Amino acid sequence: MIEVKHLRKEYPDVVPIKDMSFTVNDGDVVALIGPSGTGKSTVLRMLNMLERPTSGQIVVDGQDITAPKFPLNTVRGKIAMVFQSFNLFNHMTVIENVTYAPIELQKVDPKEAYEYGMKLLEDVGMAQCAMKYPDQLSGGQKQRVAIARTLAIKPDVILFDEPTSALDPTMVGEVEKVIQGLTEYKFTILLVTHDMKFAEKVATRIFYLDEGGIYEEGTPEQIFHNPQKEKTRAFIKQFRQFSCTLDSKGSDFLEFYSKLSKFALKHDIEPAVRKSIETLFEEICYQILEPKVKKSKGYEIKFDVEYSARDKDATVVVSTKDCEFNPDDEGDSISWSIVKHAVDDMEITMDDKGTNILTMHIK
Amino acid sequence: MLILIPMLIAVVALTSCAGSSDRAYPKSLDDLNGLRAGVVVGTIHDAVTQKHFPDSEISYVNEYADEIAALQNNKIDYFLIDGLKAKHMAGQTDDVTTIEEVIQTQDFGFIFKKDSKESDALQAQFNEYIAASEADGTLENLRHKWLDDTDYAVEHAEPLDFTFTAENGNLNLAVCNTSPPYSFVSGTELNGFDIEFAAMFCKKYGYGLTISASDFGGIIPAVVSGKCDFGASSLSYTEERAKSVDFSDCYQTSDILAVVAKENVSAFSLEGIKYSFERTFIHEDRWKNVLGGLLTTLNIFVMSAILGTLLGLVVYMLCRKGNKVLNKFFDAFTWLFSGIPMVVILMILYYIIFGKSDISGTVVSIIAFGISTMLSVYSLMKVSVLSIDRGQIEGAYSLGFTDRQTFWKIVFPQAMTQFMPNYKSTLVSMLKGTAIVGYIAVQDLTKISDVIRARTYEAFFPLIATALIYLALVLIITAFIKKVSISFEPKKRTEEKILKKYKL
Repeated sequence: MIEVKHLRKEYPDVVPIKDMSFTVNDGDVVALIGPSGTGKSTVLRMLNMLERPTSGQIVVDGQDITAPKFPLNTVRGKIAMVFQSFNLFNHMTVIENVTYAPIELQKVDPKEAYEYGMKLLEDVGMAQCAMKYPDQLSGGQKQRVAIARTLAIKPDVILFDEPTSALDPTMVGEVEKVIQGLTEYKFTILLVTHDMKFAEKVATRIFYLDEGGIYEEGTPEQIFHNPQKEKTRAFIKQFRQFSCTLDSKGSDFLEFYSKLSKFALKHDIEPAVRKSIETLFEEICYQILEPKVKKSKGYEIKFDVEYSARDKDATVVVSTKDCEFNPDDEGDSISWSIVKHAVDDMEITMDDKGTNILTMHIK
Repeated sequence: MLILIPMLIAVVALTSCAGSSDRAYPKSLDDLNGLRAGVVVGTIHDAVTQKHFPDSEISYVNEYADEIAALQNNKIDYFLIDGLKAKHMAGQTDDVTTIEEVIQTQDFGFIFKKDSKESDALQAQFNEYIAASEADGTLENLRHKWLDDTDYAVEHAEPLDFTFTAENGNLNLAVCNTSPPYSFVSGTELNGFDIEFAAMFCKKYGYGLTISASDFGGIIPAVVSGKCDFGASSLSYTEERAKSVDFSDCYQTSDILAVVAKENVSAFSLEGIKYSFERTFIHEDRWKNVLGGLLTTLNIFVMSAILGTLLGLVVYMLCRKGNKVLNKFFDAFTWLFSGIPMVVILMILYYIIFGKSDISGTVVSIIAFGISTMLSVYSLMKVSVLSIDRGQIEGAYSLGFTDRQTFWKIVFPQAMTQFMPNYKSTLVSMLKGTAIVGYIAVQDLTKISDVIRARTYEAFFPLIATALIYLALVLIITAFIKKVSISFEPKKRTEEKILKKYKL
């Protein structure tokens, strides 16, 4: 069991972890997700003290490993790490990499270590490369060897620090398969990854890291399908935002199109969704609203788009200020029919400042 | 190696022809002013040449043999030298001759440290001995023996007897050993007029005698620094010199003559090479001398290499953890040491730091080259270890290796792969660098070739032969280090060797 209490890490110019506490029970598979720079890898590296926390405690099976002069090598043998950059020993063959620590540190009989090492290599599909050197292997092969090397010391906890980030897309699968295989062996695993599908598949718990701590925690079901907090949602759904304002100072149709086309290109937005966004803009802003606001001064129409790169859908919010707009008034006008046809869900609210908010969902 | 022999022949052939171009052949002293002169560093001929031939352009060399080479190759037109040495040279080599007019005379004396009671006492005894031996004819006999027929005397020198009682202590004499007939090497032993006279003095007054031989320019510093008790080697009295050292009374007066090139230059022939070989190695068993020089060079090299490498590793290990004081200290020391030419360091160590002690030049050389190797090894280790990526170190930590285990088992073996090629070239340049130890009276391989050249006045053969010996040494050393580094190279292991440790 690992208990982390009020962990904090400061670097000279940035504080990635402000205050973080959590407990990992034996057998948990925890995936740490979150945007870049939120300290996911830093947390992992502090768990086996490759980075020393600025303050806070890490208690492993009742022992405070952050205590000064704590013999770190003893805890590191229990909490082993698999790195993004593999970190194999380049001067040793694959089998030596796997058997070196057991023989040198755990005094395992060389023959036994060899046999166990070969078995592990077979498990990760690398037995045929036992006599090769790391520089003769592909990235995926190296990572599989690194996992075998970690397993060879029979750790209680394995930390995976972005194990597939440095790999060719074609090699990600082989490594993920090996890691997934491990979850069946009751290892406690902490995993930092950018691959949400993989995290959802293997993890029992998800930590979403943001704002210097664990921003939201839950089961994969909760975090990936029903995130409660704003930033989690934005991250999970991979929201891409676009916004355009029309006001009394005048605005340009063409400008809107050029902005939208840039946005669509940049985020690779589905053509059908893009077409619907254009339709909504034309019909609501120009056909329906513009004639109404022409007379009033100081009006403002905001057109916000939130596109989810994960679900490939979009939410369009049109908010109008000082501009009377009631969909019921539109009745069955052609424009309104087109709008209703383009969206699959619609809601209208008014806030206390007198702003009309029309929220539409495009599929 | 085989390819070197034709190269040697070609070089000798080329250099032998080089002298035949247009040049001056002065016949009298009147012709000399304005021609190019050669001067051995530290001799009075510098001042004498400037005085008598003010328009001459002067080239400075370290040995008289170099002046002969310069004459043969039309680099200079004449040089001044003691009359007896001049005649001896002309007798040894066909390419040069003397102009018989005397330029001036000079008075030879032994030199002693100034302002020291012990030295003054010794000097008084020595003056007393000069007077006595002049009176009883001893000195005159000595002059007959050495100076009447110089060629015969040098060729047939009987080894001197240095085994006498030393009830009044031991004296250390500084000489230049490339100055026949006054002080030179016959076979492997020092001999000559000045040496014999010094030996006779020591015998008479109950002193032991050790002789330390250096370049001509090194005699006065050796006496000034107190490294030697007195010095000789046809040293002429000048006012300039008398400011640094005390001169004994004159024990010999001599002429200064000019040496010039002869018009008929000897042609290159295989016979000539055979003759040169014979003179350089066989005659007077000079190969023993060469062997001695080789052993001295090897001694300095091997000891410095071992000492330097071990110390370098120790210093690296001390600084590895990043101790600020030690790191700063050794960085500063490296900067200081590598900013000063090795020859200057050697002389500072020999004449100043160890000036008063009895430490031999060989030991000083081992200290200097040992330190230089230590600093190279220290910086090479730093760079080699830095080249191992941090990731592997973290990899080892995460498996439970301690810092020390990680260094020795993961970092060090890989750093060695980076280290060895640079280490090899460090050692090779160190070996070649030892060629300057002659400056502090060490008779190494290079110095021995000077000593032999001083006898044979062969300009090239000893140099080329020395070059070949160095090349052979470099070949052997590189092969040896290569062999060692292969055993360090983890990837060169055979599959059997890798599997052996698993005792399958």
